[in-house]
This record gives sequence, C-alpha cells and structure tokens, in this order.
Amino acid sequence: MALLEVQNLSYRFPGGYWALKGVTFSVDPGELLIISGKNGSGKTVLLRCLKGLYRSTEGSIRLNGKPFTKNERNTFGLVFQDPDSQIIGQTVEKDISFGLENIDLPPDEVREKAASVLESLDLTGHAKQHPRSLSGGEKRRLTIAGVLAMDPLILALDEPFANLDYPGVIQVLEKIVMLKEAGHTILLVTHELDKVLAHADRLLLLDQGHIAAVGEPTSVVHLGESCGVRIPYRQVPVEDMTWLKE
Amino acid sequence: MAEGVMFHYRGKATFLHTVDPRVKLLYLLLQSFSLVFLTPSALVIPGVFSVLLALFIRLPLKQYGKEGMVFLLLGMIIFLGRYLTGGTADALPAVSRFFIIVLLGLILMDTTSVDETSSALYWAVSWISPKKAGRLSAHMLLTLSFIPLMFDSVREVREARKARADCPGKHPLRFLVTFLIQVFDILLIKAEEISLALEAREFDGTVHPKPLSFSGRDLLALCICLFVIGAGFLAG
Repeated sequence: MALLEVQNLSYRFPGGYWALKGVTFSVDPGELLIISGKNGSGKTVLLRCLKGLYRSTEGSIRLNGKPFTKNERNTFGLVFQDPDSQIIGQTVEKDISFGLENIDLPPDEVREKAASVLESLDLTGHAKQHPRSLSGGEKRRLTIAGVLAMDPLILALDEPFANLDYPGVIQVLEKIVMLKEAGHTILLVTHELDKVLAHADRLLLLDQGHIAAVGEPTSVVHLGESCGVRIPYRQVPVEDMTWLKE
Repeated sequence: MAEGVMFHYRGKATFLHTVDPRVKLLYLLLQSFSLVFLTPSALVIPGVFSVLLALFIRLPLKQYGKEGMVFLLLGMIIFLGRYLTGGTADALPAVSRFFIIVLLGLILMDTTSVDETSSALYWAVSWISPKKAGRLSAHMLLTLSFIPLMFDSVREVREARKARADCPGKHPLRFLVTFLIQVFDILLIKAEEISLALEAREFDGTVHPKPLSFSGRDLLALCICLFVIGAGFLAG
C-alpha cells in the first residue's frame, strides 16, 4: 500500500491563480521521489499543501490509507529552500531541539534525539556554534537535521542544492543518499536533475500546476526539456546522473 | 559579515557572556532608569563602566558602520533639541544618557542570546502570570530574532542600490520612500517565510525555556552592577 496518496489536489492563490490543478500521485514507503519542473510550476506549493501550510482548494491527501489531518502533519517533515528562514535556534544544538520542544518531548529525550541527529548529519563538532557561522552546506544539513529529529514518516526537501557550491552539494547529496539507504521516504524538489537523478526511484514532472509525467526516471527524463527542465547530457544514462563519485 | 551587524549575538566565552541573563537584563533596566536621576558629573561613572564593558567584550563598534549612523543621527537630534531649549549644559547630559543606554543595549544583545533573554523574561513574567509567561516569552523571542533581520534587510537594500549607482543626492525624499518600501517588502516576505517555517516546526506560539541557574559568578556580577549604580547615586 502507498504511504502517501494525493488525489486531485488543487490550490488557488487568493488572487485567483491556480498554482496546482488536479495533481494525483502516490509515494511508496522508502521511495525517493524527485519532483521537478520549471520555476512557477507549483513544486513548492505542492510541498506546502502536503505539509498543511497552505490549505488545498480541492482534493484529498491520505497517509497510510487514512485522511491526512492537520494534527498528523508533523509526520511530514518539510525542509525549506532558504535555510535562514527555517533556522530559529541560537546554536546548532538549540535549533535541532526547537522542533522537539514544540512537540513537548521530555528534556532527556530531546537531548538524546538531538545528539543522535547531530551525529548522523556530521554536525556534532558544530553543536555549540551559532548557525549563522555555518557554511551553506552545513546550514542545509542543519535544516535537514532539525526536521529529521522529529522522526517524520516522509521527508520533503525543497531545492536542497540551491545556492550551494560543489562541496556543499556533495555534503547534502551524501546525506540524502544515506537517508534513502536507511529507509526514509523522501520527496525531493529540484530542477538540477544531473546532481541526483541516479538515486531516484521515480521522477514527477510538473508543468504549470499539472503533472506532465510521472514514472521511472529512465522513462520520463526525456520529457524534462518540454517541462522547462534542462537535461545537461542527453547521452549520459540516468544511472550516471549524480555528483557522487563511486 | 554577520558579526558586524548590530544587535546580533556573538557567541563568545567571556565572563559577561556566561553571566545569568537576568542579571544583565536587571542591570540594563536599573541603570537606564537611574540615569534620569544622576547629575551630569555622575554620568561619568555608568559611562566609563559601559565603555569598559564594551572594550572587555571587544564590541565591534567599527564594524557597525552605517547602521551605527542611525544612532548618531538620533543623538544629534536629541542634542539639537535640548540645546535649543536649555543650552549645552542641558544637551550634553541628555546625549550622554542616550548613548549609555544604546551602548548597554548593544552589550546586552552582543553577550546574551535571544533564548537567554527569552528565558529571563519567562522567569520574570511567570512570577506575575504563569499562564501568560510562555506566550509573552515567545513574542519576545520572535521580536528579538527579527531585529537582526531588519538590519540585514537595510544593509542588503543599501548595498544593492549602491551597486546600481543609486544615491539620495538629487531626490532625497523619493530615495527615502522607495528605500523604505523596498525594505518593508523584503521584511514582509521574510516574515511570511519565517511564520510558515515556524508552523512547519510545530511552533504553537508558546515557549517553555529551560530553567536558569544562579551561580556564584552571577552573584559577583550582580554585586558589581549594584555597586556601579550605587556609586553613581553617591556621586550625585
């Protein structure tokens, strides 16, 4: 059974513009689904609707076959595109604890979980540092850590490679692959397919709020350019579309 | 660099950074209040003490650059206003009081994280209204977190406009209006993003800060602060 089922999801901005129209797809447990499309195609709006930050105009979302209510939305972890807007704590450790304290976990459990996530995302050495002093890649890992600490069933990453240099992309990509291998279900929004497509189970292409195509990367990737997504090396097979070396 | 932005907390390991935030907040409030009652000559005591504190923590005053100009401008306005009504004897103490308060505020923000300030406020309010303490403390946390963003936005806009050869020269009013609109536009966008990010991290508008512990060094700091305030009163 699919972990997440989205049926006819639509979202209209207060001005009347339809950002999403009749979006239907599902996500299986442990799957890495890449959502791609050009700017304004509705990728970020889709994630925000799934998280419950935007109330969808039409459609339904089901988790494990049951309606996905607002109270259960903490099982959907969303990492924003701009890390600076998501980082609240005055130190790396405090920022990771922020979400855990909000869900009223006991202090001991907060410390334990924060320490575990710090370690798994290689941030232990930065625990007492101010988040502003971190590099771009480290900030992005911190935002992932902050969300991951809350044990979400689904982890959604909005443009995790945006504004990162080569080492930053590698740092983040390594962690994404590590999380996938650990069995996490991941939704990843990006238009930089050459960095990550090799690790995806499926690719979903959005075009002007509609799903243009969804399926295995090999069968869908050729449609990318018609949806405004550049495929840099057409002769390169999908399994080589990664910035991680062997 | 972020370190040069006013009202940003810089995590250092000085004595002042580790002092209980309640002591620092109490000193700021008492000292600011007491300044009103001090004679012009007695203002030297809190003034020198504030400067010593700033030197002790190496407050990056030089890096504040144009952001600090706002306070210089305000100081000049205060000086001019008081000078016109009461002469230099009235204007100088007024400006000194203003700059002492600004300097103490900068020292407090530089050495005290937003979390700590929020915890101190939570502690204070919980004596009066335990139910409202969490919410008030959260408001404080968010407001204080937003202050550096305001300065960041002003700097971003200023640098971007400078890069496009824009200057207030010919049309200062138009420059000011468009500048403010741009800053507020950025702030509103950032505020919306932060609000969504807070919601995404299950923030419900209340915080429950960790309990603060009062140690021997906090008592020492409190005694020094009270001594400085007392000395000011004794001096006049």
